[in-house]
Amino acid sequence: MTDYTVEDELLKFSHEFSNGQAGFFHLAVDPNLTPEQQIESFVAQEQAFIAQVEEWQSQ
Amino acid sequence: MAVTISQFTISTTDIFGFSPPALAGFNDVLGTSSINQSEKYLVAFGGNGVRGLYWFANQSLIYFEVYGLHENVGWDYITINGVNYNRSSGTFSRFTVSDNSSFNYPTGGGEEGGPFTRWTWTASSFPFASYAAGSTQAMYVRHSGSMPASGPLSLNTIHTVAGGSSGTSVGLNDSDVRALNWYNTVAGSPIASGGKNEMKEYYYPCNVGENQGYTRRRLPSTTSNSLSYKLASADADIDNASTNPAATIAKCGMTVEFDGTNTRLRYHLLSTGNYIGSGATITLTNQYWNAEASGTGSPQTYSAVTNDAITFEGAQVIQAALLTSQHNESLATGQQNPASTAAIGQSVYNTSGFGETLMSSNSITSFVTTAANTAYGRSFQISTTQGRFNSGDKVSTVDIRFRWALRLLGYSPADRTYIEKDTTLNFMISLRARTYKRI
Repeated sequence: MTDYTVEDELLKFSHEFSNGQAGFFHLAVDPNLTPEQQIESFVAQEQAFIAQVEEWQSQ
Repeated sequence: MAVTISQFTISTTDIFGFSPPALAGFNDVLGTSSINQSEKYLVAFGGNGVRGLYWFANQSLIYFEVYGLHENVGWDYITINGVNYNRSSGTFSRFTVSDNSSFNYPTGGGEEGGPFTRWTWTASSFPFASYAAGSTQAMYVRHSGSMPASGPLSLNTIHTVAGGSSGTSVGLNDSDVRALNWYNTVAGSPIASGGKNEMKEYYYPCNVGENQGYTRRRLPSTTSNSLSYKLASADADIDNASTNPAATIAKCGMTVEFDGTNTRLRYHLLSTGNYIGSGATITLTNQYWNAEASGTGSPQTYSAVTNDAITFEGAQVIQAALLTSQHNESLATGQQNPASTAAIGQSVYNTSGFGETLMSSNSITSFVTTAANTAYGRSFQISTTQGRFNSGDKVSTVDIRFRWALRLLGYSPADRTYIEKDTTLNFMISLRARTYKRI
């Protein structure tokens, strides 16, 4: 699991996606999810977005 | 009473040409042909560019993206096709993306890139009016506040906005009144009972960009190092010197300072040259560019060391962060003479070169609390020094990128309280120091 911190009520973590894009991310904390769940959900969603867009751009 | 902060029109067709749409709307960094020129310069709020407003069918989400790292403030809702999407119910996230920006950043596509802020909302069906070829639609970014933005502001008005009845007893220190103070609604640092509390802090907050005296060229991207967008350059050049020593220095810095009325973001340039003997030509050229447009034409030559890059009228910078970096560095090679280990080309970076208080933390997120009438910033210098026994054409060059994050508050009671807490600004300054000595 990605290391994270909570500062200013934001989840802060870094992540490198499969396309090599890396960055620092700041997410508003969702009280219904643990930080790990929220990061996992966000990364999965973003990865799906990247994969879908890459597929379209290759067509 | 809603206030429209900005209105802009976007294409609502699919970015990749699918019908029915799979990814529809405007995105500055996806696709290669979907962005028309005008869309590249849409402004969301506070002078911040729109990175994207699009619907992704696969995830049933609407994405609203704005360049720069912003707090979750600045507007209340966005109206798309008659439906209001509230900022407070959107999912807020910020992205400090590495180097050349976003995934799928296309060559020749988006021009800006760099860090951005995103809000998303669930939308299971196509949210725009039409996806027929050529369709466009107006979008609105709005604030739901009802305070006046300027002019007379009475305590009774504040009280009624707070839910009280007009004409009834009210005090500025009442908790329901204080809840509407700038520090509560914008800064997120509520004032305590009996704390400093002024009428000016109750005006409808305007965005920084509305009252921002733009004068000099900004680097459009947080990632681009293109000198086509440089703010200024300092060039110190000694040509055709004799065999005696010769030296050139080119130096620059940027500072931010609140002068009691306005906040000035300034740049400083200094080029100097010296030589022993006769026959040489010293040329010192300091230049800046006024226009936002790219290109290297029509720079202004000037002699003043200090100039304003941007003046934020009636606003006080209360915190600032500065990230700087060196690019395209090429220092002249060799040593100053056979008996010395000093290099001909030298650099001195991250110093206080123009009397400023040095911002020692090189970070866009590490804020320094700024006092009035004090300049905060950082300076850079390169030099080319040839000794008695050196000869040849020696050149040192470097480009310095300054990236600022500023937190501003309206200062004068006649001014409005600024809503944008973190406005980010990018600049590039190039330095060149050359000595040419004949044998």
